[in-house]
Amino acid sequence: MDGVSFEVRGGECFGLAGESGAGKSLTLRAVIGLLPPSTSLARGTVLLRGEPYHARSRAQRMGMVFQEPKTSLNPLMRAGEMIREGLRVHGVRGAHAKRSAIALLQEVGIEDPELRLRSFPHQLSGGQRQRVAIAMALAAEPAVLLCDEPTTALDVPVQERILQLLDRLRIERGLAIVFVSHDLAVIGRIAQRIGVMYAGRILECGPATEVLARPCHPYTERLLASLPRIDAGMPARGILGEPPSPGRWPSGCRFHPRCAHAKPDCSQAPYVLMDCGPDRQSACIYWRELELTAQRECA
Amino acid sequence: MSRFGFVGKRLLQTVPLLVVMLFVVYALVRVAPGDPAQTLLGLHATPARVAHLDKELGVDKPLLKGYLSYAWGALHGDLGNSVKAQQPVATIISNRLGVSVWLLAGAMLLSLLGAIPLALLAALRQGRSADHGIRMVSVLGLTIPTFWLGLVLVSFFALPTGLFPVSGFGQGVVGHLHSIFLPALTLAIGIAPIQIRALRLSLIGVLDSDFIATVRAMGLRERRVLMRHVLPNAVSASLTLLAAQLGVILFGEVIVENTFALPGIGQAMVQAIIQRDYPVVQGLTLAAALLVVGMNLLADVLQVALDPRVELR
Repeated sequence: MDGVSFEVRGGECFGLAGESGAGKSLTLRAVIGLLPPSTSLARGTVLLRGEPYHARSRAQRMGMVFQEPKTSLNPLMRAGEMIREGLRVHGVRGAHAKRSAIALLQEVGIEDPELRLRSFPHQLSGGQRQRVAIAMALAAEPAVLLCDEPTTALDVPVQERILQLLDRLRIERGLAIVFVSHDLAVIGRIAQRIGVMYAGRILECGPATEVLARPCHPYTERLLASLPRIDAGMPARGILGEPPSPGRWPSGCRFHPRCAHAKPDCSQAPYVLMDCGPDRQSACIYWRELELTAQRECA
Repeated sequence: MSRFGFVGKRLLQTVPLLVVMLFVVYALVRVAPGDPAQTLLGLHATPARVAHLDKELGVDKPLLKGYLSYAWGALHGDLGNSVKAQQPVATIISNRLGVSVWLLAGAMLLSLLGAIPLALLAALRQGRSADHGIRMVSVLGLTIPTFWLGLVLVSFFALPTGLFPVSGFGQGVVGHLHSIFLPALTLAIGIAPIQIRALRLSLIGVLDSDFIATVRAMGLRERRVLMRHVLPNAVSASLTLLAAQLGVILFGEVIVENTFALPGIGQAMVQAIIQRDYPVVQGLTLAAALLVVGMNLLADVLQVALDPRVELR
């Protein structure tokens, strides 16, 4: 990853999109200070409400929800115990903790919360587990909720209900959400602002509707074109070639070897996000000249 | 299946195991080279005395019939009489089993007391010098022969300092603990390396899992993360290994009990073998096997208690 920078405001959802291996999840882990030990030196700052955020700081917290609901809950702990672990962080214990845990389960839409408090993760469905994981993250009263593809492992109806839940929490709690997904349709559905990542860099960012309707970077265009569509008569088009592997990035614009619009000086282009509209940036040096189209209508 | 159903099933599964075990124990005498009674009594014994002892040992009967009567007796607590000590084998076992169980528990406890913190340290410092250091020390511990280590502890530690007894089982709980400490340590050093390796591996897996990242992200103190979330998961994954190590400990006890002159079943076993006291050898083998089976059962029960998912398997 290199020069990834974004901001998310209270009550707003920032979507981070991109192919597998673009560095989306790594970005989230870096934010929360939980980079795997194999990663080399990471530098950067995270500001939470204008103050530097330290991983595991007691005053300012972030919650995290993961992709795989099977592994994101401690298999040896009941749902209630897990939620209480989060409540403990700000000193809620005893009978009060039980009431709060029930309230949290209710808030995330778990039916029969008193019974579910005593359920182990393996006794819950995927959607229920993800709800418990969200309740757990909320228990610690985070200002920011980081979601790493929280709906990818779920089937579509459940996916939609989890998205509705996140939307409600964002509005009701004024929660800031960072939502990572490879699925532009999901991102377009949940996020107000999005960033498109490729090979460890953000190539384009801006308001979701704008970016998806009028992409300012060839990569975003290709990503949109690769979405399968039911209504159109033509098949989804993939992106030619493989994404580069970390440490062997191409020079200049990292997308240029796969870019249909690439020109010779793309391989020397510096990485700068240039303003390309109100609240919008693109890293493509030719964004002005290119006539990019959104192959897909996104709400 | 309910948890109790699970335990009941495991209990039932041990029945065929016990049948085979008893047969092996009984057949031990029958397949031993030479006529047992003749070997015991010497070459100059009268045929009448040999025949009498044959009858007592049950080797005059056909194999299956002999086995059935041995098994029948064993079920009623009658394992025959010692040829040399003129004592029922069951009495010898009950006098000595306690010592061995103390030693077994002590060795397991000591090894875990060392292995858990070291494995945790190695997992948290994975790939760094602490991890490599622990690995090297583990290999050393693994390669030191038990009999040698026991002797070294006796002659270079217990004898010069006089801090620990070098024989006997002591009086009372404190006395027992005092006298089993060094032998238990000897055994623990032998088994801890495997525990460290296995625990380190499962700890690394658990530390890397999403739910640990979740609780860390929530702002839980690292100590609580480790004690409440990481360790229980890693230990429950290693329980089966710990149970499997009991057999190794029991084998080590045969050596260590002789080094430290502890009156356990290991010491009695060596004596009985030297004296060709077949009923005692049989009885002690049976007792050791039962101990291992029982402890494995205990590990299964513990696993059920620790891990709510087991009932589904």
